[in-house]
Amino acid sequence: MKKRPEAAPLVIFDTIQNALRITAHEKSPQLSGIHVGQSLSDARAINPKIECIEQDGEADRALLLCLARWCERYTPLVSLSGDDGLFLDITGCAHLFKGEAALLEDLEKRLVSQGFDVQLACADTPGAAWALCRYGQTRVASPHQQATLLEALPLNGLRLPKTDVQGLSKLGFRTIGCLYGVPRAPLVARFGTDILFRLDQALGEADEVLSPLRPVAELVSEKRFADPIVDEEDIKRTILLLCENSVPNLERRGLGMQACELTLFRANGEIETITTEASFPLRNAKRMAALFDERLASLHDSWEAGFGFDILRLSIVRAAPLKADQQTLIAHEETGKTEHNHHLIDRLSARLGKERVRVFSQCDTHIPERRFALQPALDTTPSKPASLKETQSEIITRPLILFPRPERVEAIAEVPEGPPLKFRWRKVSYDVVRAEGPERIACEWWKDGRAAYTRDYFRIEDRDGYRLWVFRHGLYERETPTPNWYVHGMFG
Amino acid sequence: MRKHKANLAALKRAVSTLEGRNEHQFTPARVEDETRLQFGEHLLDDHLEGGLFSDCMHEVRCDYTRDIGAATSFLCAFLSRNLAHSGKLVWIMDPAAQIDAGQLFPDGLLQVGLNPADIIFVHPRDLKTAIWATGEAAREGGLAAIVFQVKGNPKILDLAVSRKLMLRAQASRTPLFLLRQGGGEEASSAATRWRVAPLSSEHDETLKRGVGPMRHRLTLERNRTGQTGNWPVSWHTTQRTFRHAALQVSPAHHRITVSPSPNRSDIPPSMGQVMAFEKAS
Repeated sequence: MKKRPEAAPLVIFDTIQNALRITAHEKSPQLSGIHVGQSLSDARAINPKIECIEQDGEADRALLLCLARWCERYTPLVSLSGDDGLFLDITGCAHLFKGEAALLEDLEKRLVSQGFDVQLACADTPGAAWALCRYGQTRVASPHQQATLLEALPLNGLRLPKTDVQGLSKLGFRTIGCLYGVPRAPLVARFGTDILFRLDQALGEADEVLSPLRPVAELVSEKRFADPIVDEEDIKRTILLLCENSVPNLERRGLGMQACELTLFRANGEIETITTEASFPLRNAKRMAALFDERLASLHDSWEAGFGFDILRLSIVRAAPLKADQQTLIAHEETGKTEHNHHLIDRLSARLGKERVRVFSQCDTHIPERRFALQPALDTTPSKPASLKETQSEIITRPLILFPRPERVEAIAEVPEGPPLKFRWRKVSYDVVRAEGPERIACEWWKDGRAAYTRDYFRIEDRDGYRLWVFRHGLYERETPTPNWYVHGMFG
Repeated sequence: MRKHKANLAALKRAVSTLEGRNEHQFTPARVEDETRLQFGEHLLDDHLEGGLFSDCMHEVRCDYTRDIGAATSFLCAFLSRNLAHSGKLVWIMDPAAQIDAGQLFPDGLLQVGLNPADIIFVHPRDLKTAIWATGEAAREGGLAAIVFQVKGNPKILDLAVSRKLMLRAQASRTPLFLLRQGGGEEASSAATRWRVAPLSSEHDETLKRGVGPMRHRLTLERNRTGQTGNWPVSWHTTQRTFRHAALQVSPAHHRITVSPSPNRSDIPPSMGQVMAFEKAS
């Protein structure tokens, strides 16, 4: 916590073993004598002016996650370390910031300017970095030196459970160095494998895998600005530049972009993310950039540049092999046509949202409204075109327009199973002059239960030529004494 | 006969070019390599000098909301005849039209002759984005056709907008159909405007209560390149053609003659008498 001028010193407390104890406090000369773990009433006795705030674990975690996203400006591999720390795997990234020391300095400067009080350390292994950061003096450990650096640090630096540390200290082990030459078997017999495993991890003899918070992108391309950019045109140009940057890499791997994500780091530390998807692997910079243009256009009102953005990062989250025919036959008319179609679907989905650009998917059932569903065109893999059954007869049995919810009508019909003679639908009365049916569609008892009604469908024509698909819900007397009538569709 | 008509059309265009008139003003498409969308009925195709221009905007409208079934089926049948295998069809729906126009039914589409897998539905949030989406689809091209379904006569879809859509359709050579549900006549840039109304089935002696093939009453209300007119037509799925349908006066009889239910006395047959045989047991 950073010092606040002209305010009561801040103390955070939490209930630990039925007592209110201090879990964190501000670094202030007014708080001398107050330490973490002290009970709150003691602290209040020492300094009655302190401002006490109860710890909010969820908020802390949310803040830490935000911070983790922000730290992605240094490396894509950021993972949480407990509730109070972050691991940044900067392997291969340090040179972009002129070395490890410079990276830490930059990180510290930026975090402190945001109001955080941070401890940083950099070492060969996560374990060593954890220990150095909390208990050590050295910030940047030189390679392979962790054994000497950790030697004098307390056992707490090994990320061990409290009972283990207490047990070890009873035996006289006070520092990590004490454990170096000790025979391993008796230790394992007494404390289990945990202690030695942690020690090995810290010294680099056992592997430790950090699991990054977010999946690592296939390809990342980014642009940093000394001065934050604000103008929409600049942002669009940068996006195009980033897309152009990633195209050669995609080409080299024989891949095409399927989903990508643009991360915009605001100068004030906030992060915006825009994602787009393509219905087909894409490797054309202009088309990729066009998708982001659509997304920006749809966000236009709800979004403003504010203080500007200092990093724009394009991550290709999902890529798929780009088929050879798309590369070679690009000028072929048919291929060109489908590519136009894919591009149109991508752009419409990017602008309107993928739930609004849809195609049919068929289901195997007889209930008309369950026979089909509309699914986002982006998610549907371009399959082979469904074989069109050539209609052999002139007789049309299915309506062209179906109402997703059948509309109830008041009907006069023949009993027990004749067509309706007269009914009112949408405030207009229809005199039935022609009728064909019934076509009986039984209920799906495995879904609706045995008590569900059967439907008797009729194609009817009214005196003016309106053709409708109506059904009686339930068999007269066998299923219900008063079946209802519904209009379910319109023919031509 | 049709060849003469085509020649005549070519000559008319040649004259208008000689007179230095803006070609697009009168003939929305070039004469060369033009593909026409046809009805398959000579009466109509000849009237249109070979069919509708494929790179234009056409409007199909119906007077009443409930006529949308007739308008949609006419349009689907027409598309099925002309564009069934030539690519994807983009169907853009104004949110206002979605409320009571229902949803196209894949089985019904198959029976009209359109492949449901070829249709991409776009359901934008508002009419403004619907117009944008239509414009983008028309600009991108590579589609069999675009259908833009609106309800009534929205103000925002004015002459300037329809002109823009028309020009984009021309540029990408994509047919664009404006399907207007329950709207009045309105000035627009569409090359033709059709009004569709339902028409009763043809009277059939053998199947008195049977519903026959799809029939519409078509009115060509506006035609940039020729005359208007009106025709009753019926659609024949097996041949994928429209046929001129003879109008009949009151083909339907309102008295119910059939009693299909069991355990009831039937209406006496018109001739002969049914003898009751003795019980078998």
